[in-house]
Amino acid sequence: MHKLRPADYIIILFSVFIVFLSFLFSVQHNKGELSAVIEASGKKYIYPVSENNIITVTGPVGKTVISIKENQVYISDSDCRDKICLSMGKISKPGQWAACLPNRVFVKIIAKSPENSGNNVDDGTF
Amino acid sequence: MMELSDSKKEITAFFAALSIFLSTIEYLFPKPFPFFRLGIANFPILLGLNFLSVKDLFILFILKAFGQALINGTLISYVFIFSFTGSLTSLSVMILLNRINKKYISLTGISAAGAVSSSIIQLIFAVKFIFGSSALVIAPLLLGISLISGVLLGLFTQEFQKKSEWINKIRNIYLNE
Repeated sequence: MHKLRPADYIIILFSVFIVFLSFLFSVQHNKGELSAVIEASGKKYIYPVSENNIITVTGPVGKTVISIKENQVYISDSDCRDKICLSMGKISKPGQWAACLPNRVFVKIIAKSPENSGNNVDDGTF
Repeated sequence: MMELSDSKKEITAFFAALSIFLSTIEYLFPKPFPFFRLGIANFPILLGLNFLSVKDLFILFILKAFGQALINGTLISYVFIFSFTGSLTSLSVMILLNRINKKYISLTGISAAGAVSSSIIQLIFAVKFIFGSSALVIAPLLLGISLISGVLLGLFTQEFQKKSEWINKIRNIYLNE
């Protein structure tokens, strides 16, 4: 069998610690109104998940269409070549995300807790 | 199979070819992002770490990066710079760690450190230049997957190196030239 050496354990433990930290940082609170955060070409847009909507954003390779329908958010069309973003499916829970790397579009769902919902208003372009 | 008279250059080229072949295999797996890779294409780099010169390792890395980008169709897009930066970080980290006395470190730790460091750099890149701070939500998945795949690939390579007569032969040819 393989022999792991002291530095191996240090590296692995340290990495597990980093993964754990990143997990803590990306944990979202689950209560409050759900919003879809869309980042495209350096701009940030926030839309409520409860209202049906079709949003078109532009990126380096063309247009990406994000649909919000019956509390679910998904990328419904994109001008990218591989269409990996289309196959990422529908997202509906806080912390879930979908993205189109070639077109630099990132979509994630956040929950705004009632107490800080006021602070985040200037976060987005309504 | 390789001839016994092969030169260092040919061994490096063969490793690069193996790496590009493994990239093709990797391409068959569905993935949410072009840069979510299993890392099996790094197998030849890990194998070479023990005996290839630093110069040859960098040549191997550059051939691999361009070959991989050709296969994935990302060569003429910034996705290439993205992967390239990650792989370059990973290689540099592994070359440095490889200088530590083998009493204290094995290929498994080196491979894990290489995989995770590459992901950290890509994450910083994604947040700073591509998407914005929202991209941080991919961190646990990206880092977790790369840690696991890095450890597994390291364990496999370590075992392969111990058992394979072929790699020992290649190493001897390379070192005796």
